[in-house]
Amino acid sequence: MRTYILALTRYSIMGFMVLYTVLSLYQLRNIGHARRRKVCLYLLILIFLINALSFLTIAVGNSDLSYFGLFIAETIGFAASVYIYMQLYPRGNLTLYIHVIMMLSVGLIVIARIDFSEAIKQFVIAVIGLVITIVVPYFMRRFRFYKNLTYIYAAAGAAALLAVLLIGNYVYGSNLNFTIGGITMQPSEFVKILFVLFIASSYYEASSFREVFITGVIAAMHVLILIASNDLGSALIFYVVFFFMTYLATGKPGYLILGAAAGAAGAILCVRVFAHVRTRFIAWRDPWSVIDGDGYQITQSLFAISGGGLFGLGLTQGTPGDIPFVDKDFIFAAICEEMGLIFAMCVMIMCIVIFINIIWIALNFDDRFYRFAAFGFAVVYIFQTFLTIGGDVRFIPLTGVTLPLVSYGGSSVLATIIMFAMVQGIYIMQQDQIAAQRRRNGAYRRRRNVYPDYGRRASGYERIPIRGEIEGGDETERYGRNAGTGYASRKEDTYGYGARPERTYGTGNGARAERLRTYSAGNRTRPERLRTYSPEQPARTERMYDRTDYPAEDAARSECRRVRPDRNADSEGWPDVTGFLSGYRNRPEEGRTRNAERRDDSDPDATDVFDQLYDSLFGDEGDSEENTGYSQGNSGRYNG
Amino acid sequence: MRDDYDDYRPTAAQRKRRREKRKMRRKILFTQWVFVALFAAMGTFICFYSLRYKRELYENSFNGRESKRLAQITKGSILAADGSVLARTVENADGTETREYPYGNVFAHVVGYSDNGASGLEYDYSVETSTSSLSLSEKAALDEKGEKYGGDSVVTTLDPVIQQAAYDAMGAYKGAIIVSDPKTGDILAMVSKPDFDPAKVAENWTTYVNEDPTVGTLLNRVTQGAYPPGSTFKIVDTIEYLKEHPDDWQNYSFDCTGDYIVDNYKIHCFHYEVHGEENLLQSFANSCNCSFGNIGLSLDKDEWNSTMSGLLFNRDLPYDYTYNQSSVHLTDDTDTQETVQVAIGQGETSMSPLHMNLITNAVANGGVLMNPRLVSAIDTAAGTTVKTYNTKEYGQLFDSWIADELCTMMRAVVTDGTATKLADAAYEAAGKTGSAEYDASDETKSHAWFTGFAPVDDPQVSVTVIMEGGGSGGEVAVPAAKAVLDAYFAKRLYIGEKIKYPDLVKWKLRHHAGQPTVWCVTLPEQADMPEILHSMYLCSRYYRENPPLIIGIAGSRDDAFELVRMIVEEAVRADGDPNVRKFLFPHGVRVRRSRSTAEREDA
Repeated sequence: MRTYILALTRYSIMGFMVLYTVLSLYQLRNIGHARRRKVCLYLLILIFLINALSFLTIAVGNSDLSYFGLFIAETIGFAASVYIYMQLYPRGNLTLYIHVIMMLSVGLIVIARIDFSEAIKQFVIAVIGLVITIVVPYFMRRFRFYKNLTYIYAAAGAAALLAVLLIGNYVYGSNLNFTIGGITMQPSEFVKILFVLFIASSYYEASSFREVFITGVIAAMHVLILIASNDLGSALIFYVVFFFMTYLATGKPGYLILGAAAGAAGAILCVRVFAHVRTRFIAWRDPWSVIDGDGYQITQSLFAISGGGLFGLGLTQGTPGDIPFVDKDFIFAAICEEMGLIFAMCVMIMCIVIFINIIWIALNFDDRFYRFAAFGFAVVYIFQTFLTIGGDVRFIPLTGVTLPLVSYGGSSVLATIIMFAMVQGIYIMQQDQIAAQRRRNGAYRRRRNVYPDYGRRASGYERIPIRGEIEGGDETERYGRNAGTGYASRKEDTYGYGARPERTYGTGNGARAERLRTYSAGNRTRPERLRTYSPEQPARTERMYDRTDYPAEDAARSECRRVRPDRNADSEGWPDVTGFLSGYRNRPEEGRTRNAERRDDSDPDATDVFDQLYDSLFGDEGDSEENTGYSQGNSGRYNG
Repeated sequence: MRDDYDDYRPTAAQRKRRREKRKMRRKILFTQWVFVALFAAMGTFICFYSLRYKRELYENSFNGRESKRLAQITKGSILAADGSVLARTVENADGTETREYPYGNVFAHVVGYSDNGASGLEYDYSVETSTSSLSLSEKAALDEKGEKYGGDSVVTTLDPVIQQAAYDAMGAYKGAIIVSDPKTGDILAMVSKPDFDPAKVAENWTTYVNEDPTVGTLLNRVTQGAYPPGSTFKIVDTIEYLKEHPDDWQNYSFDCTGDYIVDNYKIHCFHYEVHGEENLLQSFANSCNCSFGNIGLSLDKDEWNSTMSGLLFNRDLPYDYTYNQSSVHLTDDTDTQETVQVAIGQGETSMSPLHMNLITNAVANGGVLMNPRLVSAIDTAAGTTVKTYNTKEYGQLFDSWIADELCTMMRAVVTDGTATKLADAAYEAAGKTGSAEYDASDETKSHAWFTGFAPVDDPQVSVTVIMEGGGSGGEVAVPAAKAVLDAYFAKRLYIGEKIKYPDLVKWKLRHHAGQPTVWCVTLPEQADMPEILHSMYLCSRYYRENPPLIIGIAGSRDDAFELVRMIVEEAVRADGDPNVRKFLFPHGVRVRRSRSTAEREDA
């Protein structure tokens, strides 16, 4: 029995991981909310299965049942955190949260295999981090003043790094951390966050050469302090992040080229001048010549990676302990050896998927600060991942950074989770804006009694207005993919008026298009006109107007999928299996649209608890595009 | 234009922001694609690098994974073609394991050693022998018993009988013998002397390290020996001459007076013999240096070079393991003296016995060279085949009519020429002798070469012999080759007269196809005397699962009886004891079986 378990679980683990990767790539597509939530459920189930099988294998391989204790604690902890998160932030990006949990659990599996006590420590810190994740978005919503704290970030970051340089422990040739009261902290991880915020806030107002220069000087200061403490990997990350964010802020690709050239020159200089850099360079080019000295680590890593083959040797069947620092820097090699190349490639693709997730949040946000911040976090994450994996496989020289969320390291895990929490905060703020926008749209239309014309094709049950295809579609106007069709290509592909006008209209100048539509499709302002399109079914057109009042996520729910007439909005055509995921707890009054309620003008701007609190405390600070009449705050193509 | 949608329209500031946002979107997406491309490159690199170098990385001595595997897996055996065990790991009483070599020194170089580094097949197949391809149920069963898994066994093409004969034939000389099958490229025997005890290499390591470098005990002279070919190189000269004179080579005539002088340079025939008037065939048979010196000077150097290149000189051989290339230097500037030296196989030319054997195989096989094959399959410890290495054709090195003419000439060497010691054999052998001088100061010192094949009309086996310092090829190397060929033709599958196509019958037997007119003479397990079994019984389930050892095939029952009588007579004549099992398989035999039965060995 033991033989079978040890030999066969790796195939199922690999299969589940491949499935997870495929599903997370699917999540990147243009799918509707309900489907997304359903896939999130599948992802959680897959995480559970992968964990279960892995811990089973480890427990059987080491003949020790205490691993199940960690497994149960992990399951309960992660499931609870997901549930709490969904309840508190129904507009949060559940997919990203689940990806974070996935990376954490992969890390926990491999670290548990290597050293059980380390895994327990990692788990405890992960739980602390997830608790922080719950609090951070709230604070981000509440306190909007941090865009102006440029120099405070810079000072705090520099001070932390200086502290490491001056009072840090000198560990294996570099000052990376210091110990206070028995707890070892690695501040450079947290300083990454401060650094990104610093650059984002410094470029928030303007990004002319003056700002670039000042920011550059301060960034250079950070980098030099890091080089002085011999933390070359972090120095490189800071350097690259600075140049990418400057490129984004200024819009000039020259900065990227300058950064690459200066970086290359600097690297060559460092290799010539610094002995320890030279040894790393030699260990990269020809590790076989120094196999018993500097090249030992990388050659053991290569043995491990190639020894695993495509499917791996199976957990507990390999020897990851041969590699020094396998739990920190070389965790990728351990994954390759025991779980196989396919699994490791899936982990790599997952890193890219997380990166793309964060980038798309940056893509769609209107406020520059948040866009820069999200972009900066994304580049930090992905570049650190690239340095780690590249160093492990001899693609680039070793730089001494760890794989975020997977490697063992309290500060690293905590800092990365905080980073993701801030990204979630940005996302939630974005979704709040979208929701507010839609609410305003609805209120406006009710007030002014103007409704969009869905066109003559949008009559009949099956003609459901699709996202973006708001004003109906004359065939002559083809904007976006689904425009002009008059009906949804997928039944979930709807959630509402005001969504993604840019994609629909292509040029983004929806005003003109709308004007055209107004004139080409007839007079919009008279609902009576529309009734003539389907004279035999007057009731149906009324229901179409119902759909103008889409609340944030409910749009994709059963209303839109309903293809049979159902006057009673209480009963739904579909069993609500994903109801518990939909998180509509906060706004039950918006979950159903009844004609009577709609006509009631009493509460056009129903908001949730946090929004009310915020408004009461701070009022409307006039955050850029919130007050636009147009639904431009809402390029909600990406909607986790 | 004013309409109801004015409130929806963006203001100028908002329009500006949207433009900026669109531009930023492009940059953000650009960054995204940069990193995606970087990761795609890295992923491809990882996959290609680790899959391409998997073997080399596994074999690296710093890689501790092999020793961890060997803690779970018993190293697999190396088997000869008939199932005899050439190397295996046994467990001692105190729990440690030793690697045993039942044949000892006989297979020393080709199987190699494994206790202080590795060589030979032990080195080349260390990955396979330390892998266990047993099925999961078999592994689970072993786990229950708490035993180690058995590693995969390497099935070679070697034949212990012929190897032993070659080993004995070498005697006290240093040198090499290689025996192969020209039709399939299978190597049947590979002997190199001086030899060593493969089980005691670590013990004697300091001896080997400190010995005189000319001794080279651990060197496999078959593949890595570099000797001047001597007169055996005349095969190459003849090939080239026939290529250049396809129509009038019969008109070649030379008058040998014992000396050949050209450009103030003189060569003479071996032992100063005078051969008189001779044509090409006679020159070849007599191994006349003067005649071939003349031929060498008449050849076109460019074409000769390309022919030699086609014959794999200065090039890689299609041999998968360690070997040395043969080399010959011939350019347009080579002077007369050097050309003549090249023509008679002296000078700076050097060849390995393996290469010589490959050329002989090409001659025997109508000009087509088959890739030399040492390993035919990898089996699991239970006997199921995991991987098969098929015979492969290398290519046509020269036209088949040239091969035919050469066969005739090489037969003449045996009947009328320098290899007459093979003339009275029961089979018709053909070949070429050589006495390669290796000491410029003393021309009596020469290596004794012989390369040949038999029977000449349908060659089944080729042998190449070199004995260092043996003197004359015809005197010393030919008797060794005769001993080897005798051993080859002695104990084969006994085939009755009525069988017309023995290979077809063998194939059908292996594939359990019914043949109503074929009777088999088998040697059952645990029995010493043969029995007769009709081949249709082999289709039954019992015989499918427990295939018998077949030592003869006959076309009728009476024929089969006749075969049994013949075998027993041979056994009595050879050993004085009618124990056929002891006569045919003195070292034991193992039948390679299909699934479901465990390994069985008798020794």
